[in-house]
Amino acid sequence: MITYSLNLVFRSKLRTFLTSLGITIAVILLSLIIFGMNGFKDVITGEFTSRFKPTEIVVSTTGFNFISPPSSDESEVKEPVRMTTEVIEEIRMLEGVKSIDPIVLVNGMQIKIKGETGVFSPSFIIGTDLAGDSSMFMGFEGDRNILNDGEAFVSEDIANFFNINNQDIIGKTVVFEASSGGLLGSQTKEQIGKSYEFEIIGVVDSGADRTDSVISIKEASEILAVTGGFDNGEEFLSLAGYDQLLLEANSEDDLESIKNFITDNYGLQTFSSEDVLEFLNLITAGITFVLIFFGLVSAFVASIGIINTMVMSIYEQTREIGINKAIGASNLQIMGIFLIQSGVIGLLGGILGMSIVFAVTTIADPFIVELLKEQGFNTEKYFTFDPITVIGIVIGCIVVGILAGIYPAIKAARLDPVKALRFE
Amino acid sequence: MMIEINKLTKKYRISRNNIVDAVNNLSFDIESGEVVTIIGPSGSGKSTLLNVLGGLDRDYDGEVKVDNKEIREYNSVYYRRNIVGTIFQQFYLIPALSVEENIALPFIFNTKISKKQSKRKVEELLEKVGLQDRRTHKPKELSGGQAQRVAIARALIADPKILLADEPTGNLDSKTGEEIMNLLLNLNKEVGTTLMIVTHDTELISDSQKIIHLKDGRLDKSKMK
Ligand SMILES: Nc1ncnc2c1ncn2[C@@H]1O[C@H](COP(=O)(O)OP(=O)(O)O)[C@@H](O)[C@H]1O
Ligand SMILES: [Mg+2]
Repeated sequence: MITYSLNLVFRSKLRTFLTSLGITIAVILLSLIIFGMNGFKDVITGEFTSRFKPTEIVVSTTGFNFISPPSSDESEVKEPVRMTTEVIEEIRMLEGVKSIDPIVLVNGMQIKIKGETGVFSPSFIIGTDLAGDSSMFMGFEGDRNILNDGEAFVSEDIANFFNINNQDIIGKTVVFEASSGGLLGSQTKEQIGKSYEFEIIGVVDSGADRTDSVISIKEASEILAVTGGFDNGEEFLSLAGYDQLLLEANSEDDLESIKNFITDNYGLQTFSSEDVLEFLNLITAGITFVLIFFGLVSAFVASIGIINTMVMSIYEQTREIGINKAIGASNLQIMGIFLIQSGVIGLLGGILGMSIVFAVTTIADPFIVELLKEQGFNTEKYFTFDPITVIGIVIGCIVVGILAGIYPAIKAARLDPVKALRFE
Repeated sequence: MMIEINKLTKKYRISRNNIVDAVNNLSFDIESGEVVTIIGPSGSGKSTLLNVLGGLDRDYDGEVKVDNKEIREYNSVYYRRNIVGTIFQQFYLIPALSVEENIALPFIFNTKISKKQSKRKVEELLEKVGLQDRRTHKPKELSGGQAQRVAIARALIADPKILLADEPTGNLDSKTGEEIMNLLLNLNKEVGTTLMIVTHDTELISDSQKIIHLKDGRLDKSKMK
């Protein structure tokens, strides 16, 4: 009976093919979103887990916009939150804290390399005492990874910008000077005419983050003190404070209490890789929901195509249905013949769709990976096919086909054999 | 008594107040192994009668018993599969299937029959109807006589008790018609299947046959012997 049903469905090859295209399109749409989403999630997750240990917390004075949007509760006038030297020392003493590494941001500077042409602006300069090969950076090249006075790291992007090899830029002098306003620039009276020179002793790969140059906290705070009119760097840090803090806890169990303490007592914002993963899951759940909707709509459209084709084929096969009934086919068997036909249409559409998706993603994968690498993401593969999902999608196609075949199948099974035989 | 037809009436409602009595209060009996020829002008109810006997039409008045059991009391699928075999004027072969596959078609639906049994039976029937060398041909590659032989083989595959033939020679020239008629009569002799043949070709009727004349859905008494 299966052979016979296949014979029927492949009799009109073109129509079967065209009908299954509906399913194919639905499959392509769905699986590109599913696999694309998974790839996106994997890349972001990979990026975070390679940068942040699960025991690390980033503490910041400002919110991480994508996690906690700015509060609009205006009834309560909030004290400005500052991460001063005093606060830092208190956090360092907290139960479960293994180490802390504060960071300050130096804004409004443009970057030059002595002896080279070109101005790099706007720039992201950070002050930190983290080593060049710490996990904050994706890679490091240089003889020494700890900065002394008058020394700086620059990023690979800077080396590229000035067209110098990583090796050759080491030993050159980087110059920071106040940039001319505009986006991310700032005009301060104190900085006009001033410039700061550092010897480059290493090149860091800042990955997807943007960090153009790194100097020690001490020297960064001196620059910031000038900008803000403080007596010196120490005064800046004790009054204005740091921008960020990388905190490592002894264990993941300590994360929650440390985070709670920091937010409750200092009003600071915290986040750890856990938050990022949670957020990613939230996005993926949301997109999955939208996707299910799209899936249903496209499956619905494809079903209409199948129903249409199957009803048409009832008219074509009326005489044959009559013959089959006359020689002893039961109503259930007639239904079965039609359900097999529509299921096969679904299966063909599914296989074709998956093949196209497989081909397209295989071809596109290297380009996407290339693109991601340009953006600083470190990944070797974007699309990963897990067999369960593939099989699930194909089975889903068969089910859609069979569901769409139910109405035509019942219609066919109900044909009166005498009338069906007389049908011209 | 193989078949007992008692006051069989079949009405077709053509429109709101136009009802046709295709078969009207018809009664007669057929013995097991008998050959019965039904003759009558077009529209006299011959096909209607055969559709009832073939188990295709269960919506009738009166009583039709086969082996002492009213047809409607049989499971319709069982009845069509095992009790009757039907052949038609238009052969009703499936164009996409080969001769062998057409003959074996009833067994596709009968899950009790194995592939092997089916093969053996097809072989036997190909020989009986003389089509061994046409087994892989498609219906459109066959002559009318050959196509009707395929239909006969298909109707006989389940060894039915009754073989119904609705104008089996209607689409054939007289020589081929005679061959088909002889084949049917031989099969009846050989296997003992009760045979009911509808025809209006009186030349093809041999003496051995019981003849039933129909007119307007009734027995045409004037022509009965
Ligand atoms: N499905 C049907 N609907 C309406 N009338 C029908 C139908 N089938 C047969 N008839 C009518 O019933 C009568 C008998 O038809 P039929 O049994 O086919 O005659 P025959 O086979 O002797 O030519 C005819 O008048 C025919 O028009
Ligand atoms: Mg007729």
